[in-house]
Amino acid sequence: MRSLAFLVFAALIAAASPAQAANEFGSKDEAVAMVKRVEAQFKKDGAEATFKAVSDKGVASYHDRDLYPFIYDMTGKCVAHGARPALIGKNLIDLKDQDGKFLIREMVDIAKGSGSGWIAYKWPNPITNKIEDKLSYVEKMGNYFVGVGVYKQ
Amino acid sequence: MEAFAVSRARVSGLKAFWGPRSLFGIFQNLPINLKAFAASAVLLICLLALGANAYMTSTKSADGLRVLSYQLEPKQQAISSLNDGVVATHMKIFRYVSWASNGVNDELLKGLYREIEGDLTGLTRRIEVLSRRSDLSADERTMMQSLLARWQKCMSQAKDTLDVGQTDAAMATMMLGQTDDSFKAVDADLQKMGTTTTEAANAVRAGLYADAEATKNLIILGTALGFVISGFVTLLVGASIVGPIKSITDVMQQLSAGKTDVEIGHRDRTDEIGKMVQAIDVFRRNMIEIRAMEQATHLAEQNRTAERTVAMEELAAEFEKSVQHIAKELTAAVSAMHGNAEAMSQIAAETRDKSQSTANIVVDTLTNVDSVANAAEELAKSIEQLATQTHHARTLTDKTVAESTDASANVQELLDAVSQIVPITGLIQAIAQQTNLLALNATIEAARAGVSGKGFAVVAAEVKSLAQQTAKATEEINHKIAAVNASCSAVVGIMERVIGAIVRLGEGTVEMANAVGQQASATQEISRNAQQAADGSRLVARNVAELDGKTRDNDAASGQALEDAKRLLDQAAILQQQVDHFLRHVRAA
Repeated sequence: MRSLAFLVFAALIAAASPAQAANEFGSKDEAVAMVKRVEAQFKKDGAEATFKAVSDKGVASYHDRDLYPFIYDMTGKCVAHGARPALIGKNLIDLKDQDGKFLIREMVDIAKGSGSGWIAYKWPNPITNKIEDKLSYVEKMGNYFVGVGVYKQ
Repeated sequence: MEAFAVSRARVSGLKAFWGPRSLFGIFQNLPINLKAFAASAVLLICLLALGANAYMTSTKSADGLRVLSYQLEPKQQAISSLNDGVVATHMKIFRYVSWASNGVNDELLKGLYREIEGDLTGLTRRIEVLSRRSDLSADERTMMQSLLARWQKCMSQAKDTLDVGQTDAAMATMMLGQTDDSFKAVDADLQKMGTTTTEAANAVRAGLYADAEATKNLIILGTALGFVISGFVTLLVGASIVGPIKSITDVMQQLSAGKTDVEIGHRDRTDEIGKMVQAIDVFRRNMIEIRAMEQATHLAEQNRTAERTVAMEELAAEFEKSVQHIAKELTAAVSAMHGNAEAMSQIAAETRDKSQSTANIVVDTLTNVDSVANAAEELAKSIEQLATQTHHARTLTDKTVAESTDASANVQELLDAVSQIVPITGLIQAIAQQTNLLALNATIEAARAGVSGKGFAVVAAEVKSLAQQTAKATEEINHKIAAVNASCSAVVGIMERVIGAIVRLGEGTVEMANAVGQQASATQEISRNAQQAADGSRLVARNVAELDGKTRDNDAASGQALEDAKRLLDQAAILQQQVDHFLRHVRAA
């Protein structure tokens, strides 16, 4: 309990602090915060602008180290991707990770279910370009859901 | 007891089969042409049944084979090759992602990308072609619809993977999982379809095999059944034709050998055998009748021969009787003739004597008349003497007349007797002719009899010559009789004239006597009359002399006739002997 409280505390501090280079990899809190930012823009600028911004690697607020957002519609079609633009427009509802997990389906299930939640799966790290364990936070956003994940070290 | 019951049951069963009202009995009475074709008909029915079955099975097999060859197997092949194509494309996608991950140059990658794209297009077309096949079942159609949908998804995922692979090999690798699944699903569908098709094909094959087996068994069964039934029918036909024909042949042989009391079986049958048997029975009855008729004819022939013998016997007896009668009559006639001839001869002798005396008397008269003429002068004186003389002359004349009349009557009798001979000689002649004919017939019969008739032939020849001799003698008699007849006629004529003259003389004498008594002057007359009387007397004398000659001739002729009659009598006796002899021979024959 103590360590969890410490972690939450530390995250709050990190988020509040502008010193981003404090860690090599992004944290869960940072991931959730990025989700919130996307939702904020989604609400503010609408879907198109948000998707464009998310997919644009030049937008710093959505591209922080290994953190990036991804947006799918409820059919599993990728509409915006912060790291892998090749996926945009592809339906990945049947996509499986190396363990055979239908990660997109599970994400759709979370979005349609509780509306937000964490999901663990394997995904290529954009920095190392290797498939690593990832823990992502996804949340429903209109007819879509948006997610940002952290790579477990 | 039980065994007895069983054997009785078996016997009654056999009767039900072999009896006249049984199945075999009915079959036996069928026409022979039906029987002849019965075995063939059974075989034909079996053949037709087998043929119909073979036709139906073949049609079914052809349908099955057609389905197999033109539907199921091509479909199977199409599915199989499609599966191969899908697997190959799947492999190529793997290769593509692998190449992309290992940084193969863009051209190679793009080349493979185009190849895979082409493959995908080709596979899509082939799947569409397969789904459009007309021989798909409803299930298969549904399956194809699902496959097509799966394929669309699979293809889009594959394309996504390829697209991603162009720039993001790691992600493409990540995406291989879903592509794999899609391909696996398509593969599974294709496998399922292939299995379904294979199962269908196997079902068809199993059906074909089962049909072939069934047909084979049916052919074996049908052939065996046809063989057994037709064999049985042939045996039945044989039993109902061959056996009876053999027995009929025996019967016919016996009949042809002349045995008519043969027993003919199968009479109650109504088929050709029965008709044949009935016809043979008719032959047999005809044979019996013909035999009876022959016997009757033979008997009648015998009777007729006997009758003919009796008739011959009677005829011979009658002939004998008539011949004997004729011979008797002939003998009697000849005897009568003989008597007549004798009488005639006697009469002729008497006539001769009488005519002699007449001649003498006539001469006396002539002398007397001469004396009258000479003694005309003495007439007166001797009137009394004359008267006495005249009276005497008259008496004499009367006597002469009477005698002459008697002679004439005798001659007439002779003439009658002679004329009676004529029919007898005719009869003799007829007998001689008949005898001649009989002798001729006897000769012919003798010649027929051969050696045994030789003696008889000699007799017949003798009879014949006798008959001829008889005929000749009879003819001679006839000639003689004609001569006698002529002589007698002449005698009769002369006698009549003599009688006339004597009568007239008598009358003249009476007148003279009267005149003597009355007139002397009548002496001249008397003289003249006497002269006339003398003339007449001379004529009478001449005639009497002539009569005498004729009478002598007559006498001779009578003698001849007598002789002939004697000979005729002898010959008649001989003839009777010969006829007896002939009849003995005829009866002996």
